[in-house]
Amino acid sequence: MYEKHIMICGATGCLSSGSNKIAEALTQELESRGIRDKYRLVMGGCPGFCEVGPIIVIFPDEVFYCRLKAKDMAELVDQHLIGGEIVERLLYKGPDVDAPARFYDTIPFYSKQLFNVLRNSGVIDPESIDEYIMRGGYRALKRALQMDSQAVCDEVKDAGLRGRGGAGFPTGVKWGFTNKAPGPKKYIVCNADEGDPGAFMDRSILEGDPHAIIEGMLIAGKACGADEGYIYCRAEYPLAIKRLRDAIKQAEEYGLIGNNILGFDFNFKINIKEGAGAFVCGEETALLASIEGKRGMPRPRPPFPAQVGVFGKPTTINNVETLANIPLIVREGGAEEFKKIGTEGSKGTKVFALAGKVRNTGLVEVPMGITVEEIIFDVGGGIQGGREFKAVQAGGPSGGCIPKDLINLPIDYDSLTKAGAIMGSGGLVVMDDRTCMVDLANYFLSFTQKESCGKCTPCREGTKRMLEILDRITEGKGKPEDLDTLDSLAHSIKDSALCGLGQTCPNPVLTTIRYFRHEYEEHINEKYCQSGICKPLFQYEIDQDNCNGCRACVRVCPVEAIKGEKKEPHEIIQDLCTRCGSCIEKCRQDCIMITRVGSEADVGN
Amino acid sequence: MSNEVAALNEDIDLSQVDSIVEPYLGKKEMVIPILQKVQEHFGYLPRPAMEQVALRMHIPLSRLYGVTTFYAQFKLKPRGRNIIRVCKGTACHIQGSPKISERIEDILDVESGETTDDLRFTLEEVACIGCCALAPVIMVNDDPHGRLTPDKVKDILESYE
Amino acid sequence: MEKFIDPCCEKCTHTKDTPCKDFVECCVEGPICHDNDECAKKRKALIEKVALDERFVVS
Repeated sequence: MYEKHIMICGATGCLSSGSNKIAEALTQELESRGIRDKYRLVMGGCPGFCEVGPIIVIFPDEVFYCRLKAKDMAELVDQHLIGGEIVERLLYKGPDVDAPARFYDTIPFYSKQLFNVLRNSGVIDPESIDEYIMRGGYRALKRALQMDSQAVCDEVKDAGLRGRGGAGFPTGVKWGFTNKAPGPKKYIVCNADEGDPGAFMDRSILEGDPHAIIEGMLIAGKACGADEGYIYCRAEYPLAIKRLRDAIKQAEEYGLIGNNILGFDFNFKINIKEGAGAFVCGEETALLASIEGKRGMPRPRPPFPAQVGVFGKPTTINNVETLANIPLIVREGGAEEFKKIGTEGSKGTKVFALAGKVRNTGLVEVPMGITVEEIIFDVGGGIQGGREFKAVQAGGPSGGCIPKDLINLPIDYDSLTKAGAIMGSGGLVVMDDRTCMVDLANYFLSFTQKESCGKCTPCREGTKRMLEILDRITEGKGKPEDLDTLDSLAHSIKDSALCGLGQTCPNPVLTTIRYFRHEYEEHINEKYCQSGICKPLFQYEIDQDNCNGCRACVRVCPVEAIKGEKKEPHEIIQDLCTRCGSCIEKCRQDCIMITRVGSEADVGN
Repeated sequence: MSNEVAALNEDIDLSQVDSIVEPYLGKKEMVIPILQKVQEHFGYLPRPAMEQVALRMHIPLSRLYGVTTFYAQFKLKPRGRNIIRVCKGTACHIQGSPKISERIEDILDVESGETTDDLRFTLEEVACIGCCALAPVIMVNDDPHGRLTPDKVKDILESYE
Repeated sequence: MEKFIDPCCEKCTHTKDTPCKDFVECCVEGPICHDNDECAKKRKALIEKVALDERFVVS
């Protein structure tokens, strides 16, 4: 028996902020006191709050320590583990709490979250099938195996689960198509090719609870009459791939993958395919081509994969988060529980990757129907540095931005679509007044343009033409008619591109024009970028009244474009300034201003 | 540089390619894993190795070339000792990753996708590392460096030989 | 018994080649096919070792 369980976040976010070193230091401190055996250390899944990583949670006390450093470990061992007193200094502190907070119950970041898909993340050792079973794992599989395959499809359909990867198609209906397709050989494919920049929820599920995906696939296999599955995972997620391989091996050893699973007339095996870095492979027909070892290019549908899929056989393709929901729904009474959460058209929870200029970045799971405001201000803690909220981008390169005015918009499939965005995979990138919306549109389009597979003309050529226009606008060479041209190109691509990615790629441009037309007009007509992003369209100027001459900016300027004596207001030599932004980051007085090009001369004269 | 490539190509040990291909003979759908393993071995995909894969797998070299150029992971040129990957994710972008890229390009005098003449660094872009909370982020080899500002870049690069 | 797949005694026959229908429930609630306090204790010991708190086990 262990005295305490110490869960160290071992997900990529915390590993990047040094959780490996924390684990080493902690082990060493315990060993040097000869008490290593009393404690169980687990490098587990992700508690989600990446902003304050590295994180340690101590059970059964449920104390949440954050922003840890290796040198804190001695104190943690002596004071908490041995002394039994909480180390207050290492608890969560922030402007959103009055006193240092202990755990879920008191940290505002967790207050509106509901853990369904992430139920095991950070709680179990992801490398242990036993712990997954203790948490109720593989019971849904047994239940599904006792049912008729169509009954499993109907139950999932009745629960109202919609695909979490993009378009939100009802999962049970999709399964029904494959189940009814003729032929003895069928496949289940798990799409783990999470390519949206700014989205990492699938990786977190794969790393934190791999057996949930495997159980989801097995149940899908039963429901669709398939006996083989592929997990198509990005090669950029080495830890996720390792955890999956280990989990598959364990499940095989336990007789949960293989022949006559649990004594039923049901066989299933799972293969892993590593993606090789192509965004378009997130599109289902492209993904199938890639599994077959070809260039990952989409093809027209119909025939849909449910009829003609991988190797020409009927195939169901589900996203990671969709599959992670399955064991919850198919377990005894699960569908009823699932239906209670969410809105009329969107049931259950959704995991979002909250990032950008929000205070609390990380992974959050919230009920469908939560408003933008609740996510950004309650869960997210508002905007970094107390700046002004401008918009949030939902759904990555296929999605769109939601402006401040729509802050009460409920986040569900239908509301987002109406606002011009999509649920997509669940990236939410928050933007403040220093984000230029034209640049953002340009960013997304340059991404999709680069990733366009080139098969169909609207996407290959159309995105290129749109990008040329956006480039021109950000360089200060925009023409008044550009907005109409962009709009018409965008609609042609939407109507005529071959695949879902092509059809949705104009969304970021369309929504930014719809909600931030004035910014485009400012760029085009006044040659001014008020956010200070498009370099030819602004200059930095030092506020002569507020500069105290601390020389911080002078020291950091790489091109020596700032002059001025100590304790005298400094000045920027515009001809030398490259607008690299180093000075504005460094200035403690907040006195470096973004102004119109040539405005100094206007003021001076 | 081109001489070095030629020199490298002469050193390609094709028997290594054969042993990588061996378990997959006759399974044409496995070309991507094969190429991944070949690249893992050589660091990139040398032409003689590609030719050998084509020969053993009975796949036209042109088709193999089509596959390798489609996927971002495959490199047809040797890369530097240290790989710098600048995250181009959305969070990194709005937190200023373009300014980070610019500074790296200035210091190393290469553009994205290129390798320095002394083979010390290769500069690449990656769609998203998934450390959005630490934006902007670069990875040098396997080390992530987060919450960057342009003035931190020089010191980081100098710590890699 | 160090893992759930290990048999608690010779009465347990579950392996991947000779699967038992009740295996999954048996891990947490077992033994199911026979009554034996010792066998039940073995499972409980495995669970207690890793259960973080009283809400950890879900059946």
